[in-house]
Amino acid sequence: MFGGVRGVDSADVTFKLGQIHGLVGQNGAGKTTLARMLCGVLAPDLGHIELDGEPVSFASPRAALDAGVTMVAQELSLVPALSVAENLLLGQLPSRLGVCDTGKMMRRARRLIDDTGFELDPAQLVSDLSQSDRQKTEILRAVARNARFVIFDEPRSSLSVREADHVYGVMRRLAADGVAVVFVSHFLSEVLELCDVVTVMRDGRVVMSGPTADLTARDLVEHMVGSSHDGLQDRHSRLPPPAQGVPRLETKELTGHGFEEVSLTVGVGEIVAIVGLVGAGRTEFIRTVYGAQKASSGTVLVDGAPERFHSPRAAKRAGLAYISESRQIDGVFPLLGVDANITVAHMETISRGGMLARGLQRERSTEAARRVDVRAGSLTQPISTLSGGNQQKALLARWLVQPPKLWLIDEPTRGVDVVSTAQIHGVLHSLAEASMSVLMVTSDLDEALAIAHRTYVFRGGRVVGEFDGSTTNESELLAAAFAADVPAASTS
Amino acid sequence: MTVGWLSQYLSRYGILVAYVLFVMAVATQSDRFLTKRNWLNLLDQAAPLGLIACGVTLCIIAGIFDLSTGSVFAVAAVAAAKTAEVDPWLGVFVGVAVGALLGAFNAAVMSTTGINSFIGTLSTSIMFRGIALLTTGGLIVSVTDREYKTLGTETFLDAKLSVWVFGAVAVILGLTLARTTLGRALYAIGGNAEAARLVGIRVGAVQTFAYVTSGTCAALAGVLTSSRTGSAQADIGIGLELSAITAVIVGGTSIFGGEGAVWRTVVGVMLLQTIGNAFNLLGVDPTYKQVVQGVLILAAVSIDHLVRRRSR
Repeated sequence: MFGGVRGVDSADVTFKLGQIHGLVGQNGAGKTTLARMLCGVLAPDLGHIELDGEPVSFASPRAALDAGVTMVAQELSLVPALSVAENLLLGQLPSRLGVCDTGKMMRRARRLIDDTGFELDPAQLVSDLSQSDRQKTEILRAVARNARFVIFDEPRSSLSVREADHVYGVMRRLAADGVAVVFVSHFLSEVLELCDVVTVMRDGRVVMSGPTADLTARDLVEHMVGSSHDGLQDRHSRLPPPAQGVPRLETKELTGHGFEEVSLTVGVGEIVAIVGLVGAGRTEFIRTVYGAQKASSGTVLVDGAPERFHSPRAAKRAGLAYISESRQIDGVFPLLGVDANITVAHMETISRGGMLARGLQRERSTEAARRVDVRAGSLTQPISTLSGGNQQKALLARWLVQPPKLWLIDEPTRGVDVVSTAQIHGVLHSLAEASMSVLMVTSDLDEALAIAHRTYVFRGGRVVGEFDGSTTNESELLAAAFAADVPAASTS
Repeated sequence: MTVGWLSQYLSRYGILVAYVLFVMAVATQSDRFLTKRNWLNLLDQAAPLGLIACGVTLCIIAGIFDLSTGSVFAVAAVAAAKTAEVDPWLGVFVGVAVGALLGAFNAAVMSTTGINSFIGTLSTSIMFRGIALLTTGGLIVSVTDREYKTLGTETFLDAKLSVWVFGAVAVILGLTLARTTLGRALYAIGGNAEAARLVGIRVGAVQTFAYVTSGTCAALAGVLTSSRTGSAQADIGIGLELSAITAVIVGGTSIFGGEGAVWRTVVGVMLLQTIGNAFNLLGVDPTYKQVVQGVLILAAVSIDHLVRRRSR
């Protein structure tokens, strides 16, 4: 279960030995969930997995590994304090009388590394390695295990083009040796080039599976989007147009960790969405605008005046509000009451001379909670006792105590139930009507299409497209996010 | 919902219930226990540890460990004893000011280096102890000034001055935590430091306040102790920092931060002191003292933990 939504709803796929099988889909389509079930990290609720025609059920990744199934994961799972060689051969270290045979271990590791063409020192500690060298170690580990079924989940996310070529070489060689290889990726052109068969997933279901020979990237995008979207025009006609004139927020070639030269605007009373794949630099960008991380160059203008916020506090004082993508990690204060959570950003409004006034706290938090319909038995109960949707609404209420000029919201409805999602969209709508501006990051294209006046698409830390909310559609946004059929990206 | 109401109260005041039960149990065994004289004495003995523990409570709630309080206690006592010869009140002032400065130094070290407060204050505590040794040359500093010595023995309404200072500090810090925006910020930082930064709380400034308060409280304890004995030396107060943290945790303040209260610390300190007092009165063989003390602390904390978990 991910945030109350089933990850995968029923997937029938056959993976053949000696083939490279592509697995593609939007963020949250269920690719990683499926991969995790295959290699025993998650257990399926229903149905079964067959290996060589025999039904199998893996109680743990270890059991899957014993059966020859392994995964090169997005989240790396290496032991930082051990050397590359030790990590590669962990669980099968050569030993004599319980003492590790270092010479033999190094020779075996070196042979593995040389076979793949990677450049890697087997004696180096993993903690000293760069991100891409760690990724290479992770890949080699799967090879070292002599698996018959290897899943590569976004294996090149931190590799250069040349290193990625090495990875693809490894995958081809594995397939040639009769191993079944699964390739989960956002890079459609590479999937088409490398794979024999490709499977497209959408909303947790397999929507297409077939040989790659007669498919184009455009076809894959069409399948990822599906065709169940109407009524968007309706919703759009209700959005009041943003005010003309000086934009509320303008960034000029803003560059920082994770994104480069981002120039965009948000008008007064406008809702703007940023979409893109995981890792496209969207979160880093809005955190930088809010002063939560440093920009290396570029300009931020608020109402036409240049600003460079060095702290969230400075941004807040200038009229910005920020809601992070992960409520639990850096959003709520789990031990404090709902009322304290709502008023914490504006304690000056509930105190006199530094002394908290309980009456004022009750008044302000009740009023803000009412505006976004936070459902709580009592506002004094700890916020951790509320549902995800109500916690998210409480975070909106937090900034309504003293309404800002510009809202920066990362994933406004992630892990939120359907009813609360609709309510949150209604709130964002009313903020725009009240001449506030909203810049939101979302992975839910429907959300961007439903409530945003304009949508920017990020890819690889850059803005690659800007679309009008009333005329664009899901496949146009996806094509830009995936670089399918976009002239600038036809280099592969 | 009477059961819910009862369990809610039990969970909130579990440690107090445990303490009252313990007091009643001891009272049935000794006639001398529930006397005014014994309790005034008990409070007086509890004051130095109590003062330190109150300051440490603010730190722990804000997610900070201050392991330097034992050393600050010694440095402040030495500084006060040395300057008390000039003027007794100057001694008091210098002692307390030195404690506040050392607290500020702790805050500066943690915020500039970004190291964890546990290891950071462990290091500074060794430094501070060294400073105390350097200034005394390893000798006992004796105070001859009579007025300074009376500070520690002076009584007001039958209670020693130290008891009144402890009480006042507990009330002030208790109110600060429960009723001020600063207190709210301490809870917020201890509960989720990154979220606190993102809502615009000045995390560094608030943490500095906690360090300075802790240093000041430890210094107050040191000054009171040196005035009572009329002397100070570099090796006093060793281990006090751990006793203080123990008292805070026994009281039920979360070691993970974000939760707790000063009144809990006061109960924790009193429980530890009362256990010691009961041993003396009941004439228990002192060789068993530590074992039984450990068992009783464990029992008190377990009761608190159990009733709290049941109510969740």
